[in-house]
Amino acid sequence: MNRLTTFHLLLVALSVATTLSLASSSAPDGLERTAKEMTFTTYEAYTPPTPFADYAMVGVPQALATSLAGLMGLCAVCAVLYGACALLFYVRRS
Amino acid sequence: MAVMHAVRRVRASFFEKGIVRTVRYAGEPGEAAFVPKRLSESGARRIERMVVVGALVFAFQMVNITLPGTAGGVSGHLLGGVFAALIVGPFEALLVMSAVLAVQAFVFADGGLLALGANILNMGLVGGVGGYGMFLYVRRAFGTKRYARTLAIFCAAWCSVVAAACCAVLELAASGVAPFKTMLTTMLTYHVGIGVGEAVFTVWAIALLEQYRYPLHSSAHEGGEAA
Repeated sequence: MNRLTTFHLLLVALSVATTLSLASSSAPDGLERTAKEMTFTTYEAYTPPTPFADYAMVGVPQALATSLAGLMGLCAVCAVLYGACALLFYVRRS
Repeated sequence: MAVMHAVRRVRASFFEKGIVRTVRYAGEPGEAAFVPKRLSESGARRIERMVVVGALVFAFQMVNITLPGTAGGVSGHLLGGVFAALIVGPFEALLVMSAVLAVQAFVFADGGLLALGANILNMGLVGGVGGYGMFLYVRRAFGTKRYARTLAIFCAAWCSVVAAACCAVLELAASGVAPFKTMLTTMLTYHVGIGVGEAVFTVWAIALLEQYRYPLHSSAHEGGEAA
């Protein structure tokens, strides 16, 4: 392989979202930690009801929850981006 | 508003080269009289690249890494604004970041709906478009030096994280949740470190993509014109 294609990069994204994300640290990130130290709340409380809160799918075994959430998230991002581009930029294949 | 501007810019650039068919319509004065009806082949490929970059940015934002040497545990994750801008262009990057952040807010309850606009402003506009501007500036400043591009990517990525953090502090302070000064010091303490991670990752990833000849944005190439 001497040339990266869309397919390879999607594979990379998929493996990172489903596998590497398992090793993700559960410590609060920079902004959350600051919020905690300064004792203010960000507006995270106002979130829509979702089965994927905090990157773990509800109702599946713990071991699979994060990977499945990553997979669904990837699909969602791809769908949203492609859909938005298609709508905005008139994709019509002749 | 910024997102709408980005949409217009990207849409215009999509039709720059290789228009397949055009249709004439009575445009307003000052507007182009020719509006292409079909997307060019290069436009379709760029949409493909935007989708891929969005997937990569989302995937890498999921991975939080604990910062070494911090008491109590602080983690950082990549933002990817400069990374996206170097591959698909600054305004496309803004759209990519917006999509990623929207999915995070709506599907994963991460970031929050009310803060979505601020997040897009910080990580998309300041981090992506601003970071790209930083890249061009540093690159031009070092001209033909051998490491101009690497240095520019490093600076741009680091600055994008720190600038995004500063903007978040400004916004939070403006809404009166905490005093500006202390919040700024706390925030910067962590994000200076996160920025280094982001910078190293971006330099490495762009070099890897170039080595395997994945198409980058025209100005991001090693021999490319910094304009």
